[in-house]
Amino acid sequence: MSRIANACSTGKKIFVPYITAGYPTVADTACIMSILVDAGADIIELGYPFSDPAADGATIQASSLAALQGGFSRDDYFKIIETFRQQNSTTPIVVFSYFNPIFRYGVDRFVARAAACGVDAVLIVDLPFEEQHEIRPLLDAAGLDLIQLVAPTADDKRIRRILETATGFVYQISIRGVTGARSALPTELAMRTNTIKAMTSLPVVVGFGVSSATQIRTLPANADGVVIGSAIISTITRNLPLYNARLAERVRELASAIHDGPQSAPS
Amino acid sequence: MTTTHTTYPLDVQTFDGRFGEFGGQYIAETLMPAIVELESAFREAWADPAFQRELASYLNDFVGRPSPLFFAKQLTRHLDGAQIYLKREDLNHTGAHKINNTLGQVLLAKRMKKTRIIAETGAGQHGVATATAAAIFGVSCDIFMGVEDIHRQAENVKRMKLLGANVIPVESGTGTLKDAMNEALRNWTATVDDTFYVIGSVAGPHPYPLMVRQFQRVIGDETRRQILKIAGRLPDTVIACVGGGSNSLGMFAAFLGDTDVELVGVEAAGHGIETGRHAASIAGGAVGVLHGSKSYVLQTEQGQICNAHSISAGLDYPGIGPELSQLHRENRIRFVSVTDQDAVEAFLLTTRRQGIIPALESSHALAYACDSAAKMDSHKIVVVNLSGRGDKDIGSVNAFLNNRAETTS
Ligand SMILES: Cc1ncc(COP(=O)(O)O)c(C=O)c1O
Repeated sequence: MSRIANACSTGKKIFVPYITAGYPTVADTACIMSILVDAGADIIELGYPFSDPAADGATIQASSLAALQGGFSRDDYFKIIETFRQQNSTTPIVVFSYFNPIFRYGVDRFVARAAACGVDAVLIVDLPFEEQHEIRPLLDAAGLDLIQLVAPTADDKRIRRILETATGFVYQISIRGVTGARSALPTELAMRTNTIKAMTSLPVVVGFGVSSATQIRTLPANADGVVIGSAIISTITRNLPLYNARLAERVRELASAIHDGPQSAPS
Repeated sequence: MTTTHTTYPLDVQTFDGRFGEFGGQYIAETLMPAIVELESAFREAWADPAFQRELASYLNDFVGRPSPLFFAKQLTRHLDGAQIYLKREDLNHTGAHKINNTLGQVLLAKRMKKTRIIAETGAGQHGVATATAAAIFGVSCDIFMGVEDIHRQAENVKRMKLLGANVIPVESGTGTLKDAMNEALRNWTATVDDTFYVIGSVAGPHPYPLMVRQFQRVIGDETRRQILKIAGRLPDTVIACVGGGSNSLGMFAAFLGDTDVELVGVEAAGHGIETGRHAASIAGGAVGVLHGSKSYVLQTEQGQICNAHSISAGLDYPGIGPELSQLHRENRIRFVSVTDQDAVEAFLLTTRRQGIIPALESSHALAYACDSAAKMDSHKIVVVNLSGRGDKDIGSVNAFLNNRAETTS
């Protein structure tokens, strides 16, 4: 069983935190990943900083910019994962990136190196299925999943097409908009989750906009997991430089809201 | 690598968005349904004679088309070389070629029943042209503009506001055109149901590069007819400045099949290509993906996008339209670059000798044209696309001259 399938088979909703590699520093990142796991993370999305994050809100933009200003490089990204893997061989890692840094390096080189250092899946925010020919054959050959996003703007026909080639898990975008905390989530969320789940047997995780335990309790019972990004980054930012304890506390709170809340019916 | 050639003329109804390796739709999944809808709406509109008639009537009576092709006799005499003709896009309503495209896109937005328009702008010319189209067609309009450009192009900010548009300052990144485009994309992702994004150049995901080129090719189609009428033959060389590439491609599109006509795209060399402070994607960039398409992009070896630099806000962009990248690769368009300094010299020369204050963007094309015309025979014909007027740039030129006076004194 793959690490992702394994992480999704706990019988509970899964918790997928997002962090930006190199934020607040390259040296901190692997340590933050361990904090996340100790506090209840089931899968980690590791953001690759990009100069022009057009799909991200202010929080993730600022963390990416800070990482780049701190001198973040491609080698750092892979070293962070290697360091983490020395202590943890079970928690799945999803690369979360824009396409240009991958393209510039060479898609083949990127995939080979990601596979070698223990990455499980890749999610590219500006690579809709129309352009996935760029990387899919290489990921398939390396045994890595290409995580598919399903947006609230997609009709059933598009969702079906996206799901045809989906592996790992499916990422349901909750809101029309970029990443970032929101006070309210759309009411039709659960219906969308049902639509998606009727078309796939893969786990469906919901993300974008989720930031609090209260909000987590209102999420669709039938979702298999939750992605939380900006809320975690801003916990780090607000508590710099000694953020470890507060981060662990916040992540534990979010994790227990997810793990102990209403669970989806076993499929 | 083998080069797949694009087949011309492009067929709007079947074109798939790929110019060889370049183009495509590298965009957030949330926006894909809107892009697909736009593609079919544009195809339908383009094929509909009623849409074409309505657009043509606005281009004629509201913009003032056709714009003249003007023999620049004084400039020609001064340089004592090839005959220089200027395509007077500066005489268009709102002062640049940008209005050709915004009227087309806003008419399309109305046809698609969108109630709100957004756009990015650098020089403010595209912002003013979009605000103008929004005003005449009665749709609400938000313009994203980098804080640096708001400072450089204050007059255009005032014009947009008078026209009823909201100007939204963008602080992220360098506060220039690429950051404004990022912010417009973010806003569109959140408002895509009722909002139409009017992109100002032949950049962005398919169908924008195709659509903007088609709306701008009126420049080249007119020029080709005009020069045949005036001179009885096609020009030897056609020159245009290149930011994202809309005025150049709009001009060149009509001449792509005329293999004897040399096409020259002039990029902004800023302080000089060798300094790294420039905006020349072909001369100093590498193939990459930015704002929805694959093309030449100014970037680091790590794949991070670089900040562009040009004295001209409209050329200050680290990318270029995908079709131009392909035409560069096919060697159909020759790309050259002109520094801030040389563009200002051409600005002054054209103003003093020819009585036309050109936009700083267009001054890049003029600089190269003057340089090469001076070395050519007097029976040769050079056409320059004078993409806009320079009233907006008087502050920038004065600041540049003052600065130069200080550093040399
Ligand atoms: C007068 C003028 N010319 C040229 C440009 C550059 O854009 P493009 O390369 O799309 O024509 C601009 C952009 O603002 C402009 O205002």
